[in-house]
Amino acid sequence: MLNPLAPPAANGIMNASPFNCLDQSGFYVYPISLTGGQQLNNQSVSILTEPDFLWRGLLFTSTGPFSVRFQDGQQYYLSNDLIMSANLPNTAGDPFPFFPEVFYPAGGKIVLDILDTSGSGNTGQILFIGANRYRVSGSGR
Amino acid sequence: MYDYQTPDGYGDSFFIYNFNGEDIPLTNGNDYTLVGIPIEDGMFVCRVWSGGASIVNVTTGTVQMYDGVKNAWFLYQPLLIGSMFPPAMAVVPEKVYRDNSAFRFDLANVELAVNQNGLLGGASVYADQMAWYGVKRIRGGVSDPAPSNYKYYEKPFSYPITLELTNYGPSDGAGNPIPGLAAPTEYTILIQDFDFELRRITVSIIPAGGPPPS
Repeated sequence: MLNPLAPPAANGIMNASPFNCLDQSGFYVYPISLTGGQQLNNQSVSILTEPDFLWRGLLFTSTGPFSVRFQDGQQYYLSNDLIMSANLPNTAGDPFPFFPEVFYPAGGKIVLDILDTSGSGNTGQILFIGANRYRVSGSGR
Repeated sequence: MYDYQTPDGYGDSFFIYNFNGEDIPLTNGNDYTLVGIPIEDGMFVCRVWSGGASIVNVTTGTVQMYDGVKNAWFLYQPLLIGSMFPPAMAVVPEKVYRDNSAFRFDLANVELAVNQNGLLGGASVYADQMAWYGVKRIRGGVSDPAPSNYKYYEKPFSYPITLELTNYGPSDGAGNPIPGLAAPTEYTILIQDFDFELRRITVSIIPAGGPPPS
């Protein structure tokens, strides 16, 4: 069954989980709470202890601009400097992609540095969109 | 990207499950845990989710969905509604709900959306709904569309219909919204000359007074 006018998700996307794994949609949330000009380094979001996390998209909302940089699962930075939020365009229906994906092991953490550039209090939320990868016996599908 | 394969022995047909808060009933300002609507008459494969922002306060409300075995879709804090919730969020990978299971979700700070009906000094009517789009998967069923028993080719075609909605949702004597549905009006479009495969429905709203001049 294929409707060429429908988006891929509505037509159905085959589960591309690797052998012996099962991928399930997963999200991690970081609440933004900054005072004017404040920089917070080594902020962490803990990954569940059972599934690995594959980070594939970024979505955020905030009351003011900010700059941010992220670390991968081995705690290497993904950029050489803080990135302005304006350079990470995203909407709820079109998150900023991280291609192909960033791997975080189970029990690990997403680490980020964040800097308020609005000059006043800044609140919001960063949403890490991706998949939790569970190890399963058999084919996993 | 490779073609989707329905599991052998099953057939998929398009279906939408929806939920109206006033039918539970939900009360504005309250929180609810594991609210549910039943899945019946076959498995349901959920691929798209919409409408959460019309059920809870867009600034402080939250919705947390559970899958078929009550695993949460989100970690720790439920997804913040408001600008974070897209009009229609793709659910990838798709989530399969077994027959005779249920959609379960937590709601915090319920605020059911309302609209004014189109009458002068119009009363409020409920305008809240969450919807889950996907397919019903039935053992031994035939997937839509079924294979054709004759050779064919396709040509784009549309069946337009113009209608005016005047059957508003119900309100009480004080103009407050109340649960229930207005008496429905059934429209019929005759399919002529050739088989027609429906793939998309689009809606254009013409404001009172007609369309703007071209």
